[in-house]
Amino acid sequence: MLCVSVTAGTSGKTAPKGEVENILEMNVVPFENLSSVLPEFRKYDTPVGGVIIAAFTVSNNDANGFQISLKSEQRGRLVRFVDGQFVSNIKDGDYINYTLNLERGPGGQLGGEMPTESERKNLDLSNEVLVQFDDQLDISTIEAELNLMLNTKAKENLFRGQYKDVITFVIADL
Amino acid sequence: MTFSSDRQGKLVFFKNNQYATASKEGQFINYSLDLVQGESGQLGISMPPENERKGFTLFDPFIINFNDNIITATHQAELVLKMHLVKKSTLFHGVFQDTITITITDL
Repeated sequence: MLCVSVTAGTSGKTAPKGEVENILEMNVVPFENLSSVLPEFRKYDTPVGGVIIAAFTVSNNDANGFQISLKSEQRGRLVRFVDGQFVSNIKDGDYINYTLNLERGPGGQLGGEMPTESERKNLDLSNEVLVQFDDQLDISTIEAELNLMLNTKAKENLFRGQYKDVITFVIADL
Repeated sequence: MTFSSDRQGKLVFFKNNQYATASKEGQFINYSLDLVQGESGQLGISMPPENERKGFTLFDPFIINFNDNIITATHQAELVLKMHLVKKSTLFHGVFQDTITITITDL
């Protein structure tokens, strides 16, 4: 768009103006088979730094940055999963608590600094968690890769079986 | 003709009726200009050579002299200003603008 205002005389002004459209996008790449990367919950802690359970890319060009909310269906627990559903009456042997770390992956371009470690490590999803990316933004974020790492502590009294949760990520402008 | 830019030849992020204060990479895009002859009016001289009026930037005021092969007076000659941008994927979302002042003086 070009706005021109010129009147008779020896000078005039033109005010070129354009607009950049909003980009707000996330692509999640889940790891389908957790059992191949997670330790045996009953016997072992996850290694320091956690085990990667998802990688996703983020694109956003808001000058104020963006936030990612993380919400757990089972309130921050992996719960025993039998015959296509979570057990209904959850006992101590039916679940294991976990925490999450959000880490910068190798791909893409992040428009600012990663949030401080206290804001993105050992996240407890017993309630919804918000992580804000608003530090020292210099450029927009383009397909920045982020990794989600899961931490568990060994829990010997777990029942045998498969354990599962569903985590929902939502990205929003700030 | 003298062309001068309020923002040193950049379109700058413009929000809440003011320009961004800090010049971060996501807050500006450089441009260059071409001055070409329009269709109407009468230009009493030849247009300056292309290297004097195409692809110029406005980091500093830019002067174009119309003094080649003068034949008659110039009367309501239409001139067109064209802008060039090179895509910049790191720009923030929003409005980018500048104000260019064009001044004509006798030689």
